[in-house]
Amino acid sequence: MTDASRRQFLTGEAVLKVGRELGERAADRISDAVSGLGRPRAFDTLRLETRAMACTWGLCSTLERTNG
Amino acid sequence: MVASDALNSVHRVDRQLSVYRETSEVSRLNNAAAAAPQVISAELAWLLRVCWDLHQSTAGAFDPAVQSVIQLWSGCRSAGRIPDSSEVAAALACCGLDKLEFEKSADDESLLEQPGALRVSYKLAGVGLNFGAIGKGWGIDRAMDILRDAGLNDCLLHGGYSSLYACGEHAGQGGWPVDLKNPLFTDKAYLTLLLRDQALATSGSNVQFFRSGGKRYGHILDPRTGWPAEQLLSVSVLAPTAAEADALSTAFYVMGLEKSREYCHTHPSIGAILTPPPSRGRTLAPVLCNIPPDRVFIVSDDVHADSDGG
Repeated sequence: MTDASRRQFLTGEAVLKVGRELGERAADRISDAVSGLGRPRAFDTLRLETRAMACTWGLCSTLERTNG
Repeated sequence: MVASDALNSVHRVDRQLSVYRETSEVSRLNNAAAAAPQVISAELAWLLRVCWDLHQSTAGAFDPAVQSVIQLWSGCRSAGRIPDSSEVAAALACCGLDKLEFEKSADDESLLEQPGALRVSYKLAGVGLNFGAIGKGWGIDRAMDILRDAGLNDCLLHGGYSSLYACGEHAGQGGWPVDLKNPLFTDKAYLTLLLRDQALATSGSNVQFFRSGGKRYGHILDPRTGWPAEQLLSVSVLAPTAAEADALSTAFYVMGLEKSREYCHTHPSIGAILTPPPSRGRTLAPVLCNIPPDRVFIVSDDVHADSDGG
């Protein structure tokens, strides 16, 4: 609120602005959390790698899930 | 150990198919088959049959007998120039699976069981095979044969990250999550796919390209014209085998959006993500063909996907 004018402070406009920004940030966080639901993700894997055909080859298998 | 046996099998495929090894079966064939028929291994005969089917189904957009055109562009790229149309026409005259002649029909499956039974010759000097568009997928399939035979049912095998096979599932999620990189910003993902008992391969010219005369030329060549294909930004293909996914990702890149969509309509086991260059800004509009909506997740704000089938 350091850049708010005296008029904005007295009319409550500055407080409203800060409140609006906080609310928008919270809404974004909720929205991100909801949209991420159901998206599969990578857990720990055991990996073996080699080089062939001018690139890296890899074999991944799942390590037993211990949490999450 | 089964896992290392599977990975080591990739070296065997490399030694067999590489055009960069003088001693590979393919190099030997390329050097000698125009002069006289050459015996080929049962595995190479099998690969050529798979290639022939893909060549037919894509109306020539996939063609492993494209070495003459690849060599032309590779030489010109090193010299910092593009070939002229007469050079391309000359290379194209030596291009095409129809320039191979089999002494006996490659469709006769019994020949695959008889070592030395199948011999191939090239109809012209300058004809050459290059399995760069299918070799990694073929290597993945052969390695997966070993893993399946040993009963390893939940694993993911990739070759250079651009080709992979996802077997079974990962951590009880009903498949393996695989991120597709945004072709414009390759440090970010734009889609996540959940793959189970499926192969995935991606082709694009966002990484491998060169510039000449102010124009950008991609590394994927159209075997029908001899010139770089340039309609799509990126193509990812899902298929029952990694060889099919690998070959079709290159073929679809060459065929363009509409022909690739038509292919998927008539081949329900093939899925595709066809991403054209953005019409404005950086918003991508990939077209998803035959991919069930519960297997794909948009993970970027810069994506508006359109869906066919699935």
